[in-house]
Amino acid sequence: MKEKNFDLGNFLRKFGIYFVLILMMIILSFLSKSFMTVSNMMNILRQVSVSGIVAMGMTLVLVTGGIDLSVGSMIAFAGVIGCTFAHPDPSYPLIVVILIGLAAGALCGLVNGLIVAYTGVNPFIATMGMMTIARGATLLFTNGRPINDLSESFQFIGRGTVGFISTPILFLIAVCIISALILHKTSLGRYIFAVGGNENAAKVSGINVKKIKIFVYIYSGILCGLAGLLLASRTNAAAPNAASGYELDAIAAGVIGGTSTSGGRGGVYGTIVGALIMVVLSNGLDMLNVSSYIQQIVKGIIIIGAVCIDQFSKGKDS
Amino acid sequence: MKKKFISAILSVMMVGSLLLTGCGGENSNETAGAGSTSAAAENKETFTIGFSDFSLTAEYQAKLRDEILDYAEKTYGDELEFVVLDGESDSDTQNSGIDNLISQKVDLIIMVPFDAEQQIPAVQAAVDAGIPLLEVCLQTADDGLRTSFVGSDDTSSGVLEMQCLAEAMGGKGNVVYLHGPTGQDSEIKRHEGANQVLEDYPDIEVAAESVCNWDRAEAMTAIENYVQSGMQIDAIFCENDEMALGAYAAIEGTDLEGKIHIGGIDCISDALQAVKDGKLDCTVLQDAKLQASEVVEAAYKVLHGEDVEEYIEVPYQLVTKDNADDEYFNN
Amino acid sequence: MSNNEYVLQMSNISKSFSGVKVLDSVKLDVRPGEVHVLIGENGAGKSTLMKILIGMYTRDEGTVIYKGEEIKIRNTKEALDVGITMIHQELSPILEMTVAENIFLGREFKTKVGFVDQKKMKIEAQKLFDEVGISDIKPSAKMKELSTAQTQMVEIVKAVSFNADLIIMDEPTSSITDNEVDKLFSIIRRLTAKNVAVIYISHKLNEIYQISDSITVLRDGEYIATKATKELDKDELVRLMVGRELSDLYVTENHSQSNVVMSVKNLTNGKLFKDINFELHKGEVLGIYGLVGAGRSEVVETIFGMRGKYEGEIFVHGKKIVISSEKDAIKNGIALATEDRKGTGIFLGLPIRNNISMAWLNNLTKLGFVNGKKEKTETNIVGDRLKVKAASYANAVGTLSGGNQQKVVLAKWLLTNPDVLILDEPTRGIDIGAKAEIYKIIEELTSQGKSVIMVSSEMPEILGMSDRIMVIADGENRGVLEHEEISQLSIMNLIAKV
Repeated sequence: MKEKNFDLGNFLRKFGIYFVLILMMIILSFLSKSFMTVSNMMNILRQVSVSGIVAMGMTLVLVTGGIDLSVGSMIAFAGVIGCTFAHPDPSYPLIVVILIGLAAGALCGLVNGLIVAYTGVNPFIATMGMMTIARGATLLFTNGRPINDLSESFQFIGRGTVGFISTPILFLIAVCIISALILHKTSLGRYIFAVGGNENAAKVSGINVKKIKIFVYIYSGILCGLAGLLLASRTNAAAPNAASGYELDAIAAGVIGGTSTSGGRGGVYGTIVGALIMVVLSNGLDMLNVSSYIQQIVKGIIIIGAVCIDQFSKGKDS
Repeated sequence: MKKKFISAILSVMMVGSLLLTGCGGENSNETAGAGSTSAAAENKETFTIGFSDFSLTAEYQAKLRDEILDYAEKTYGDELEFVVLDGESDSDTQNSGIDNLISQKVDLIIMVPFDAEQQIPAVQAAVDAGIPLLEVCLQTADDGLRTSFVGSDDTSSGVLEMQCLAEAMGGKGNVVYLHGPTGQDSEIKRHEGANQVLEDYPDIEVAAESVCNWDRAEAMTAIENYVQSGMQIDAIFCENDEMALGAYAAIEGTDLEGKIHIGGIDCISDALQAVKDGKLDCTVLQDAKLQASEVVEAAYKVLHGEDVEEYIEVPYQLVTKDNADDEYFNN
Repeated sequence: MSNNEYVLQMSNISKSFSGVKVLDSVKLDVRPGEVHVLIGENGAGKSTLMKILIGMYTRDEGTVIYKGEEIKIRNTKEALDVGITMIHQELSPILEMTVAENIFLGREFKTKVGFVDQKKMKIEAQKLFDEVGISDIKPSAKMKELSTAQTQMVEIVKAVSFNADLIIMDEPTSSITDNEVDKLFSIIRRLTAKNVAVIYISHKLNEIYQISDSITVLRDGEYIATKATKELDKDELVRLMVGRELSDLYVTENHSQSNVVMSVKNLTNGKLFKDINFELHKGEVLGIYGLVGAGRSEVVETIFGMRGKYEGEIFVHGKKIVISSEKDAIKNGIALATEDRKGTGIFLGLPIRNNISMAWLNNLTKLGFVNGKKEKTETNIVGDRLKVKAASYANAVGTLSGGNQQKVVLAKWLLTNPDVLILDEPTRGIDIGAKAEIYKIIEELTSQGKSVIMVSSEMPEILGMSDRIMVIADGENRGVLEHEEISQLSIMNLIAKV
């Protein structure tokens, strides 16, 4: 008695998003000669690197049924902390700067995770608190001024190239691979899905739910640390008010990519496509010289459309 | 150092109150005491001034606050005491902050309004409570209420920058225009000033415009995309320095480096250095130091019953490679 | 052709979803004032038929004649208007509102100035309760204070308040106790005495024979038969339902051995229960019987580490163990298939394979990475052994029937190779065919020397399957019945004992 026919909702949820991206790229390449060029593709990948990395961490958090609103603030926080050690004089080895940046992000993430796992405070509230705290700490630390005068070696991570590929793209690829392995190949990834799919059943199956939750928030924090360093290196300064609103971009990338905000469903491949869709969209519309006002409207429509598909397919499941 | 310490303590208190009340939206308070409390001993009258800035996270505003506090301390010692409030770039937050200042019965209020219209109720409330109110840097639309406005005409900053770029371009070519957040008074006026200049240069065309919200990364992305589109760009007009530095970062290391004229406004230290290095053609100094000293002087006079002008203008100054090394810009 | 003998005549009803026929020319005739049972295995089409009747689905073909007139109902509101209501299996009252407010939701009495007239609503609600003979529910109580059974009563009263002539009850006894079932039946009898017809969907054969007048059997979306209840014996009914003889539902062979696998001494957990003692032998089925709320689930959940700290001692293979979490229990060879399958058993959205491997994943990984091949082999073995019916183990568990979902839960625990398998209400809400399969699985396990603790509130099941029975009431161990002592009477005596 089971339906074995073509299930449009399921199909759209699984593959629709890839078609949207491809369709967008085809349309844009007709509209603008310079869109489909190697240098512009590199340009797009460079632009997606920071938001894409953040969205990877967000995806893991979303799959557990949580949310991380503090990513923008953690990016700024890790950026200024890391860049404090990235001046040419006294100079520290690049690896030290990176580790400090990642540690700053990890620390914020750890606090998020501990609060969410142990106090029962809703992740929305807990990370909203961290959003304000980390931003405040950043402003306090910098006294509201950007940190500049960054060393040559530090500039390499955001602006350099290896062969013909920009370093941020390499970081993005590495983060994608690591995230995909964690989420889709390890037992940890299985448990992340389990916690989001049915927290009580996960507990009954002997899974340490608290540990899983803490892990995803730390992971999100570490990736924000990396993103903060890349952003600072790319723009040549760590601004205390940088990256505000990035949480929404990251959530949108996840949701467009088919990750459910109620947890238990999603994946990193969809997320990277979601992030690409947003960047391709603004890149293409910029090239066509479309006003930023219209761009905002189009972005909103895409996000709502993606969630509609999500809801539609969920309705089909039950 | 002391200020940093005090602000640290107060930030901890802020976090505490945040935890107690559940979530954000609180005003962050900073009291910057001006020295010891021996004022009474010297038998001088002391005054408390409330300073409400729409945002202390914007670099210029942070600088303005520092200059005001420095000047007041240097010149008047403990006679003037300040309560500093952050409006967190939100009209409502700023208004409730000013309500708090009124109920604390401060002697005078200095405000940098977030919004030209939405801050008028707060000005009205101060006037109703008999507290004189000075606006500095930015102003509200109702100039009948406040005691005085100390500031620079934003329009002229746009004029200065566009004039400089137009001359550098030889009076013709394509310019890309990067806006601050739409609707902000300074954004509108800078735009107005730029347009005034463009009327005199029919051969200069605005090839593209983008709203980059004063943000370096956003400006960088926009310019990268325009460059990729193959658009001919001769100059980039940026409504602030952060965006100008982002625009420069987008072309740095490409063939276009050195071929595009870029200008900004605010004269932040990064931008000043970039002008010296020839990366930016110009920036425009909104003279925080002069604004600060003028507003403190005006406040002192008002507190002692003297009259002040309704509009005290602090002129903008164009900074190019020629004058960038002047001592005045380098403090 | 209309016939006044019937209040409802549905004929030739067909319905397809995405090209798959789920109902094929089905008919259902209901007389006024009768209790008409609609029975069939899960997937037989009972719910679809009822949803067509109340307008949640539209039929593709067929006619519905209600009180002599052909009707086309497009939504539940229209069904209510003509006097047809359905009491769903999963009730969804508004918990923060009062009983009276829930009954009159959407049609509140108003005072002259337009405010809600609370007083009148309470009075009218009380009248309705009196009418059907309910005395233990106050109209002013909040819904959240009521038990499941009481919530159901409120739903019935709500149906009565619409002057319904036809009330559909979907498995009304699935989560209420025997006492409460008696009460429900007396209310149903009052309703039928007033010529209200009841369509009663249930899997529980005993109840069906207690309450119903006639029975319609559906199988695989087709109409099989309609018979008067008294003309249809149980074996015949089961045969009609499953399409084959089902001579022996319960497997009674005793595989108990003398060695003790687990023993529990003076187990106490706060106010939930106290001083529970029992021993579990190798190869036996130890039944735990108790009414809802007696503490039976709490005992096994404590043993499995779900209920926090406990007093007393638990021994496995003679060694004292301390259990502070589910993980500890699993490590010590204990497995628990909980009573709340959807809440704590399965991950509806995750693939069947991932569900089965979830509790054993640590043993299927190398350096943290899941060994896909090993996982596939092992889950296939245990899935096949339990005859999990699925097109692919990559499909979500949510696409399976209740019985197959339960098998997935069992598969998950069998994979951990437990010494003690605890099953809490293992056959709740699943059809009779799947029940029989689960009983067979239990028998198979005990014959291989596994020990099973089965908690159940279904008397026939506990009598049919257990080698020994522990009776729990009011959080106390009322005694353990040895194999030869087992009877319904002895159980009831233990419960009544103070």
